[in-house]
Amino acid sequence: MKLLRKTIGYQLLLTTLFFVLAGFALFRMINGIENEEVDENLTAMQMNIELQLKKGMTVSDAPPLLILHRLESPLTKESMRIQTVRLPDPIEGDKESYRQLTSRTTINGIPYEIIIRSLLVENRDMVIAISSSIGLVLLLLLAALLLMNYFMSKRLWAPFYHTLGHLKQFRLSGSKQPQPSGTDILEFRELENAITELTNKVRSDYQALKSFTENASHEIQTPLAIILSKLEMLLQSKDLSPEQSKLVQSAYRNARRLSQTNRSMVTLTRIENRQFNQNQSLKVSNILDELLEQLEDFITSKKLTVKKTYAAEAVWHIDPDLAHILLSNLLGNAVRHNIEGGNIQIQLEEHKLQISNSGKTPSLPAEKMFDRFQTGSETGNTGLGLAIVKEIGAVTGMTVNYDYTDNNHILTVLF
Amino acid sequence: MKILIVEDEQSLADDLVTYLASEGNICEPAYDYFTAEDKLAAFHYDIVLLDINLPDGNGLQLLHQMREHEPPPGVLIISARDSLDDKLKGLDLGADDYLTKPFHLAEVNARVKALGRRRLFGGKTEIRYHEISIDPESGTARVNEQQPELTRKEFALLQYFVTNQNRVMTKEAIAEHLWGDYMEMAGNFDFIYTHIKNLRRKLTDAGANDYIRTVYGMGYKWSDE
Repeated sequence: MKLLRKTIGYQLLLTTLFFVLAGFALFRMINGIENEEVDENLTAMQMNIELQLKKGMTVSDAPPLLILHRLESPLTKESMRIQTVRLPDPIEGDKESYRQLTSRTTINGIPYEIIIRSLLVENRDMVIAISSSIGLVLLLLLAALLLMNYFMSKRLWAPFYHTLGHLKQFRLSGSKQPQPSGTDILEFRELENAITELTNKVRSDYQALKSFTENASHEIQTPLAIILSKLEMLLQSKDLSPEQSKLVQSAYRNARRLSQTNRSMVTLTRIENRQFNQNQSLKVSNILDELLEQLEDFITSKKLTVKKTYAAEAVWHIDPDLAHILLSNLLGNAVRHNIEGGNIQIQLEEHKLQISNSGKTPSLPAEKMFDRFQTGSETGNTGLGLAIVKEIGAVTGMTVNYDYTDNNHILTVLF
Repeated sequence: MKILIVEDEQSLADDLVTYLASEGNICEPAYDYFTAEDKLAAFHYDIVLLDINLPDGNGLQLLHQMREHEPPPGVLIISARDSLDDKLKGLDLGADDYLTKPFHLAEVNARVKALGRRRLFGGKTEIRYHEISIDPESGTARVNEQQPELTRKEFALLQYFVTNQNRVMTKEAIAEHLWGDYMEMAGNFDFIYTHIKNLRRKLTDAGANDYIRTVYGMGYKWSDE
């Protein structure tokens, strides 16, 4: 639910409640004032009539407004009473409300009962009048409120939507700073400042982490070079026993593996840092052909059949190194994870490249294929190849998908 | 050849000195920028192995100084930074070759020798090993007067072996020399065996002795012992 609708909902509820109370109070007040006025009138009339009677003048009846009785028995005590009564209207026939003054008094020795009445406004009529006028005002007020809220919210909340837009577009690796909306609303300005501070902090932490990875990799490279050269020197000694030779061999292999992993990590970091940005227009088929030539020895040694179909000329606008890393990883995988005597199929279309190869059932679920350090059951891999592929896809806007059907590993690049 | 090794990691520098000295070179290490600058001013070197990241300066600066020598030494940059920028800058400033750490000592040796041949003899030297002679420029090899038909890879393999004779060459070092970074895509080194088998057959068919020794589990060694 939008904030605006919620606000209006509450406003509506509260206003209605107030108007009902106001209507009730108004009714009571008007009623009171009317009775008071009428009572005053009635008393004045009564005094007038009594005065006339005292003077011996005749006062004629005017029912139902004025009724004058001569009482049979003398009054024990004089009395006067004012009350509201309902009597049938002689003309219209329905009942009407009257204010009635009944006075029993003795004038010139004759006991009288004087009844004076005054027609009252019907309660029902008053209620209708009050509620309809209040209803109308309420309706007008609500319309005004809605309209005002609508326009105000557009104006007032504009800086909020501005900030929200920036948040939605926020990328950790990007460098875009949120532009201040220049609002003079304190709350929104505070929000803006807090968000700017937060994004700066997050970015600087991210940068620190990245440069740590980068530095760590660089620092690892030199000691590794030393370890490898020492092991190589050790290998040259003539008096190594087969046992010792095995130990050196194992140490050497693993140091090399570490070095490879490290290099892949450096590559990955550099891709993330967008350090490959010498974009050029490159024909994909050219790179593929060049790579296949480089891989020829491996393809022949595994007795693989390569079938390539270039249906269209695809051109990438990309850094040459990135294109090279991407395609050599894909083709390299197709060779490495192939079976003896297997096949590789390369299909190039205008916006799609598909490389599929025969191979054993993957030991990894397809959705984990692109995760870092996922090597499956095979050893000797860095487990970073497809992670690098995915990262290149992310920075260049290409989509890379993996699928395994009919004993074939299929990698599709959409661009 | 006289070689200056500018490398701040003493241990690595000493390994390079030992390895290259055993090939008959005169090697001197310089562990920092200051010493390197000093030595370059005082002596003449045929080849300089240059690490870019030195504690007291950038190795690329030394390239300017080296260019003032006549003739300037051949420069092989060795750096932990495998950044294309550094590589291009280094080559631009007059370095001849670039190698990224970690490297195989055999690879350094091969590059240094190739550099030395280009520098000192304009590349026009035959490498002789008993009855085998190798011409790096034309990429051909002769056994006595016979010329076996070697593929490009087989020739590179032969030259690499002879350059690093009497040493155990790991399969990794051989693969990296022949296939560079692509080697990592192979997954295993079985394919090297095919190339070695073919080279061995072609050489013996042409009348050469078999100098390739298999070092169990590790790799190969070129030796007449």
